Amino acid sequence: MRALALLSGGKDSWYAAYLASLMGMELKLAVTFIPESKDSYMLHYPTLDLVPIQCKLARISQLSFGVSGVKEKEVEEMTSHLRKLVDEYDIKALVCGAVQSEYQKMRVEFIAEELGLISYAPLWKKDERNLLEEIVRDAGFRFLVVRVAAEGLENWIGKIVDNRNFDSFLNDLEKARANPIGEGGEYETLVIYMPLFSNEIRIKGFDVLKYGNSKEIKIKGVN
Amino acid sequence: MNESVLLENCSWIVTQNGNRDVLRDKYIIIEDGKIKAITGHVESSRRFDRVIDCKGRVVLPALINGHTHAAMTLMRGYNDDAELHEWLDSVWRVEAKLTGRDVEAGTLLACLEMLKTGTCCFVDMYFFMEDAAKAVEKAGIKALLGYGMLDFGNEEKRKEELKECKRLLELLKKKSNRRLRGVVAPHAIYTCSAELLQEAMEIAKSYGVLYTIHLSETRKEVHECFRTHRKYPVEYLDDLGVLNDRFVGFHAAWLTRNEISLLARKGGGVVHCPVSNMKLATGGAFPFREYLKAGVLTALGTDGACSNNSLNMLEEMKFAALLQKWFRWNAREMSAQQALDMATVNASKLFRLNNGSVEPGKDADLLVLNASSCFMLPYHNVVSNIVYASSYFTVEHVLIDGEVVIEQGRHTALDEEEVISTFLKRVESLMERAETGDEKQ
Repeated sequence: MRALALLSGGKDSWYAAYLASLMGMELKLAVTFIPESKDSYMLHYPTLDLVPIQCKLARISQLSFGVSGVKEKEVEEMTSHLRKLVDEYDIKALVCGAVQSEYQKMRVEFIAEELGLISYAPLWKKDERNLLEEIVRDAGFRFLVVRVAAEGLENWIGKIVDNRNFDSFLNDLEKARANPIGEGGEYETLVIYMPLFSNEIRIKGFDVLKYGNSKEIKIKGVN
Repeated sequence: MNESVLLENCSWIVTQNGNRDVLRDKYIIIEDGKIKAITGHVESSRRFDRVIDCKGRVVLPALINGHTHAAMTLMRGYNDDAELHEWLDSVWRVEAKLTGRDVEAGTLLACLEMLKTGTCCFVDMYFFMEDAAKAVEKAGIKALLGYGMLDFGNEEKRKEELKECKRLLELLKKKSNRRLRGVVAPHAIYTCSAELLQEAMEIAKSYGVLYTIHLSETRKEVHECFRTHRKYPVEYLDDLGVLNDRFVGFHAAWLTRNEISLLARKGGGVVHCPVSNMKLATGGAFPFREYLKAGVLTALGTDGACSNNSLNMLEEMKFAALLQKWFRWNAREMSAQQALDMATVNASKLFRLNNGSVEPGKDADLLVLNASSCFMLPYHNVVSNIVYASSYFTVEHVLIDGEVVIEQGRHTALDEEEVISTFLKRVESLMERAETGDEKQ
């Protein structure tokens, strides 16, 4: 089955794409939506511009589209962009990494229904802690923490999480009473290595920016 | 009925009482259709009209099928494995030619199948319900019958549908058969106008009956509702004022958390139909954990034989538990006990019945399974055996109001061969009418 993965570059969307490939789906194309508004209901992400590099390493064609980020309007914009691609690439399934966000999941379902596609959301309603353990311990993902917005997680900004420091990360998540998968926006990630990548992404350097109670990194470049 | 019945030497009684006690080696005394006592000893001098030896047997409450379209047995296996809407179109073409005689024959076969698989009561939504009622009475099963109303926004049609709904409720009231009750049954929000949905609730209130409706079975209907009303289906129904403790939603697979808490606040319940949902590939998985957490009552149903394709609640319990485990990647989701609760005690509460558990004062609607058959061995966990391992081969007796309706797997009053032969004749005639467009009966 030919699938289109909605990718933000973080661990959840990449893990969903990975599971789709394990389920025998053919990942024909990845699409990244870049919101003009920082308040988008669907899309939050500080490092969306690095998704093309990830996709290159995973040998998946990738396209990015700008959307307004305005509630409901952005859903129509996304549907319209995807409509053209569904025919062109003969897409049958839409893959997304929603875990608990009903707003995100239902909009993806609506888009899929509109376009006559099945939605594949393998992480939907799974136990968050088990999921995170699977992603890091079993699948061997390495990710960079690119944004933190929960007290007690500040020290993780700009750090790489993998099997080596995972226990300590889990421990801090627990202490901070953060949702393990970060669905409440407690932290966001950029995958630098996962099994579909031919190589690991090397970050050259970054600046840490502060926005109110949250910290975000601005990546200077990658190798 | 004044018969006294003794179930003696019951090796296991899965009571489904508040503690979910499983009792060993007890006697069940039934008088006037009700469970009188569960005891460890019965005076040898005491006489009973009927004694059934239950050694090596497990006795449990007979099962409740919370949602079906019984007469759709007529179309079992017709156009299987087709895409949902293609399937629906083909079914509607056949249904357009249905007659009351077809529905009676189809419902009677359905009753036979349900009884033989341990079901004592079912909740039906279909057409020609007067004829369905005749079949139910012949079979001796309990049923809540609802005339399925659809108006597609047409005012004339709405008036006719509501009239037919009231006619059925009046008819059932007159029959005053305690095994037969009526419900109000608007088909779904995408086939019924807001006016019909609201007037149907007024009827439900005035007759003191439940309000049953297909709810969020598919992604398509949820999306349509959202596009039209900018609300999800349960929110829309709440706006119409039809959400209260009479409300029972069938399928209810695509509900958001807000809708689930709304249902919980208003006291509505839901019926899960896992096999039908999987067979018709409707996508959503019943949010069981969320219903449980919110305190929404949940029951189980087979849906019609055209989309299942059996009416076997033993199977349905197993599928329900497996689907939750599979969907959540968590083997702890929906235990065997929870699946059994949905098919017995919870369903009884949801449908306001007086059965669903083996306790004094309850209707003696009981199922006796052969726990010594190879399917049910060994005895580590009898509830697990019922849900995960039993099959219709293990059904020995079904009692309804203390009356033995199924004995050693056979119906005690119906001529089964006659039921089957009449049914097959009606199927042949119906298919001929559907293919030729002939209206003859």
